[in-house]
Amino acid sequence: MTGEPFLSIRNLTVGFGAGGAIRAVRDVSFDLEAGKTLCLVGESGSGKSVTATSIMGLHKPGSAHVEAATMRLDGINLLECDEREMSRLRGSLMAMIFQDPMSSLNPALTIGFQLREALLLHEKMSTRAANARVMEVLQRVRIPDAARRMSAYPHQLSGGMRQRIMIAMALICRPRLLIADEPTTALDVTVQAQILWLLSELQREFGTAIIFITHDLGVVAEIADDVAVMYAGSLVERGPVHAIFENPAHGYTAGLLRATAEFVPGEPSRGRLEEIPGNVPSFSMLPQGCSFVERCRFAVDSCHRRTPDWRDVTFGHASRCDQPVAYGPTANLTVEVSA
Amino acid sequence: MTTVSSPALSKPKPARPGVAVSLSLLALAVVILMAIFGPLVFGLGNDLNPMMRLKPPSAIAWFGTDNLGRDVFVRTVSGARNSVTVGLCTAIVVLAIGGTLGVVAGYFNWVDRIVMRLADGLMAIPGILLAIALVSVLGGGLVTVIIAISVPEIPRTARLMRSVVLSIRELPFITAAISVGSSTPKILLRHIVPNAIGMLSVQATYVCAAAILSEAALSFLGVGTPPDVPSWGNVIASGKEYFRLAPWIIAFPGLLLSIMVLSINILGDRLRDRFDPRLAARRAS
Repeated sequence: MTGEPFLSIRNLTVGFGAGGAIRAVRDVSFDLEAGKTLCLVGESGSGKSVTATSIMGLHKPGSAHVEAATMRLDGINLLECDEREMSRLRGSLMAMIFQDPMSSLNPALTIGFQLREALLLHEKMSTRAANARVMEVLQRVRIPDAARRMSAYPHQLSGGMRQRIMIAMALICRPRLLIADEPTTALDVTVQAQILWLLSELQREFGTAIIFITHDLGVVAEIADDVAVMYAGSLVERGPVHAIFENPAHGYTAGLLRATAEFVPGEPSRGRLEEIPGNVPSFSMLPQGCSFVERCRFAVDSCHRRTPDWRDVTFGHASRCDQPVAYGPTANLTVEVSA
Repeated sequence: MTTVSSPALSKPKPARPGVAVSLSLLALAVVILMAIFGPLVFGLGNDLNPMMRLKPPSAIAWFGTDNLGRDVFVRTVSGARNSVTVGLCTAIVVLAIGGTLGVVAGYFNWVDRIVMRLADGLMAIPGILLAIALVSVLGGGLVTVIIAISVPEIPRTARLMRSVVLSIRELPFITAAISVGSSTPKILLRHIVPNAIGMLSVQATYVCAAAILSEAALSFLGVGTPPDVPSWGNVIASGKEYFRLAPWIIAFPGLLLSIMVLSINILGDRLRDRFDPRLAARRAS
């Protein structure tokens, strides 16, 4: 390790609207090492996807103002890349899997054509060699009868199959960073398990770094190395997955964990789940002080006055909360973190 | 490997064409045959025959004769060539220019601002007036007529394509294509255009029908093709003063013109239904 992390984001701020006035992402910083999985967690509208599309440079031109102190991937400064350099990096160094497999494939083109195009954009090879690679990657993502599926159109495949095609498309050039934006939200649970398993298998083999965006804490427990919790456009807590699950140090994280259902075979359910009162504040009317203050059970006067700074809880685990001891261990969710 | 083919992968059965569609196809086939072979078999029907002026339909002249004794049947059959040529050429020119402008305008905002303001300007002038003005400036002839009819049609097609592209470019698969590293020209040609082809082909039928009508109107007004090249428009024009004496001069080319335009429109509607399943379901219910 040469000291510089594989992906390093510092003070990423993304604004929309006139002059970037509506700041959907504020001051987000994190690092990610090769071969590791970072889960970005948070409810809808917390800025998870905007963070991801900013790294990929996928905002519509002129629609978003992206600013950051640092945005480096594998030694490349993404902030200095122009559109042409970015499109060379997309697909080869970094790739993205989208939430909705139903509409993320071009309905007018065959599966084989789309996969081959993704490959030929970055690597010079004959059509024949490209077809062989496409076949190989289709088999890797467990598409049965791959030769025949290559001439199929997206509408002829099921949702789980299409998501696997999307994964194949993202992985065909063996990117070193994979951003998965809720890749399993639209799928049923058995397919979801297959997809997660597939991702971690491919990660082990190619040493891919994964940013996994989700609001499903069960998925997080299964695949994450590190977790970053987002609320109203900012990170509020980050750290290794077991530290966060066992000892959440922010009111929002604790609330999320308490709101997760647990099923233990043979035991009666614990009744009503706890909820987080209220709604996410709108970006144009964030409360003073901590942005979670109005919904936090543990808020004290000082929470209303100033935005808390980052505070270390344990090594590698930090939270933006001034009362990190108040939440205690969550007995609600058993975490099995595979070593 | 199983030999049983899954239903999901088998080709959907094409729906049976209705009576209207079959008749339209038949009518179009007849008109196109007339356009290709009419002048070869019957000539252009320019022979004047003072002895045969304004004769009603008979075994010698099936559609009767006009005021100069020309055979209306021969001129109508041969006139199909003009209509078909103008209709097809206009559709191709309009789709090529208007379609390209629309696709580019739909994807690049700065092109959009320029092209759409020009289109607004052109659309403010009535199409037939613009066409007459263009013919007067450029002089008569088939090519001129095609240009004159195309110019007013281009903004409408460009506008339609622009709106189609605007909605396609927001779809997730375009972002997905960008995310694997596709360049902008590839996005436009491989991802957007194939998805717009459906709308484009429907628009082609409407442009074609409108062009045939416009050509007839221009010929009727005397600014279309010269009189020695028969077209439905100038045959009708030659009969307008004798309408009460010899209605057949106007009736037969007029009937053919109506049938052809109607057939093209029926086929266009049918195509639109095919490309928009929701609309087809609503009509069926």
